[in-house]
Amino acid sequence: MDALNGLFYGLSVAFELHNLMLMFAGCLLGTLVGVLPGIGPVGAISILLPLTFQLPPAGAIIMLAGIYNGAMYGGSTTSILINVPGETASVVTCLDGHAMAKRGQAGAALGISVFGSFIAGTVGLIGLQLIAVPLSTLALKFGPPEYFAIILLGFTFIIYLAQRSMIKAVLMAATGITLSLIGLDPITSQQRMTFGNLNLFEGLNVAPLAIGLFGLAEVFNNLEKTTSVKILHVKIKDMFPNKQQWMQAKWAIVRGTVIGFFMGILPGGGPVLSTFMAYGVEKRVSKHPEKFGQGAIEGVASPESANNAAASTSFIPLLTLGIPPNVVLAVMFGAFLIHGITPGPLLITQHPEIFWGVVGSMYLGNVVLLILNLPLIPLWVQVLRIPDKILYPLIILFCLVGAYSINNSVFDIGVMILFGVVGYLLKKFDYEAAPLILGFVLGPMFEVNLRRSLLMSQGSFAIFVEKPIALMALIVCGIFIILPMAKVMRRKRTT
Amino acid sequence: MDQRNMISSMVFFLLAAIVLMISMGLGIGLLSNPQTGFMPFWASLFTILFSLILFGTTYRNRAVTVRLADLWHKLHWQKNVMAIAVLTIYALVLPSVGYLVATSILMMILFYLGGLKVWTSALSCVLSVFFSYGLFQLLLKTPLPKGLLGF
Repeated sequence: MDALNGLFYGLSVAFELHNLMLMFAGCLLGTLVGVLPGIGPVGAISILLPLTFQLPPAGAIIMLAGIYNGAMYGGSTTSILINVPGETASVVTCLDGHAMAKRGQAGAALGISVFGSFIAGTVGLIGLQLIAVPLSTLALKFGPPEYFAIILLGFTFIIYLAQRSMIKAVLMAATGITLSLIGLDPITSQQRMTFGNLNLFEGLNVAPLAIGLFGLAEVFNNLEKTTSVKILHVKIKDMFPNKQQWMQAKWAIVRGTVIGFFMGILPGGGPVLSTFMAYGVEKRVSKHPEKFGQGAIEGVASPESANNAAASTSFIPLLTLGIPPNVVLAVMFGAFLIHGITPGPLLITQHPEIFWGVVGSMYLGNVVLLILNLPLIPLWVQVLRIPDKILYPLIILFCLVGAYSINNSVFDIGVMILFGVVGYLLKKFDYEAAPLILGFVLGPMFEVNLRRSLLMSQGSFAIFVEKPIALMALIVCGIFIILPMAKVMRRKRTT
Repeated sequence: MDQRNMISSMVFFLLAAIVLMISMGLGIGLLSNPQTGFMPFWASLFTILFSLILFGTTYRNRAVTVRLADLWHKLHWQKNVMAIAVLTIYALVLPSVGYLVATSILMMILFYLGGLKVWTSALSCVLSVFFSYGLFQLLLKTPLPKGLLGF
């Protein structure tokens, strides 16, 4: 099926009443969660994952994609109005978005963020639609050495692009891999680190881990703080940017879209990093960099476009190679597996209704989110008025029932609580939880492909050099390992 | 010295050392025929190596001072301790007490800990428990634990 026919087929799937309702519910829930500070898209998808268990796989993934995109749209609202990012990808929006709001231009900031998100999200989807088929055809030719090298490249990027310490990111990724090894050996079926506990025979599930690390841990982090938020009042008629603001923002939207497009595909990149990069580039190319941080509309348009473009294109490696490029897609990967679907090169041919249905519903979702976000912003602002003392116990309740309903097991609740505490401590000790989840999800694939490659080559590492794609991936890995080392050496020499 | 890094590197070192020993017991195998312990062995070795690097770099930059006590300074950490304790007890008693009873008590405590008054806590508790029961048990057909009382 070519891209155009695929799109029409996808739209026919997306327009089925139940899928349409699920997409709408996903967008609504995602925006709601995006608006609420603290719980980002990872937490949202993890907590709301159990709601999809009884749904057909296509509907479930459509709903989860809606939640993801909704959270991307909703996150900017709190950044602009209260200077508190709804999710990490909206941190940069605070700088100029809130400054605009304080100058009485909150409406224009919200408007440009929504329009920029819509344009960039749609461009990202066109990319997904066009690139996915040829890439998955190419991926069908990949063997274990290629997969091993590509996953290793993914780990290298995840660590290289870590927002804090790279050493800590390596520790997190290695811990994630180790945790993923609990259970039966995928090749020999021998028990590993189960300590005779029946609940561990099938290994740990990604959902309780993610709910704990990103849902419960966030509640713990917020519970100990006492902060009050001040919300600015915005009138609906102020939401549309004027012609001058459009002219100022148009190239920022284009640049943000391009950066987000490529950062989304890159393992370890994703929406969060793309916003920082887009903001940096925008400031550098601007004729008035001094206006950034004081309420420059380009400072809102560019990162908001970047995070939505990245959110769309980050589906490319997941759906075509079966490799999640960021932590949200890692949880989504877990959702696919729970529904008995393995994302990868065969997805388009074996489950076209899922692949094209998700693409079609994301196009529709973009339109729905544009409609939801502009007139409903005053309503979303009211959500911010829900007191923490009601909100946090409710989130905890959802985390508990969510973790339980994956396998109807109290053991999973225990795992979720344990990782909630671990996630809370990790944040205190300045560790990022994202490489841990990615290590956990990619760990089994990493192991199987490494061991199969070594079995194929009788223990020779030459197999990774003989395959051109694997060799290329390893060369890029080498460059990204040497780069930070060289930087440290240079710094030492200068001091 | 950054106490966060010193303590966490030691924790990672210890945990990785345990995994290393377990992996050796499982059998690492040869490169031409890697066994069950192969991947845990290399993953734990990597963790040990990087925990030592973290320890070393933190020790070298000991002018940077972050004390553990500062991490919880001026924060209501007691709320978290209470919440974690209550959640742990909840997970332990849930199978025997059942969802409705256990969750009602848990939510009552959580709402009360959050600062709601007794009656408001009770009302919020009833609403949230019945909403979650209706959504998961009745609508999504999740078999929530019934406990000794049978509901």
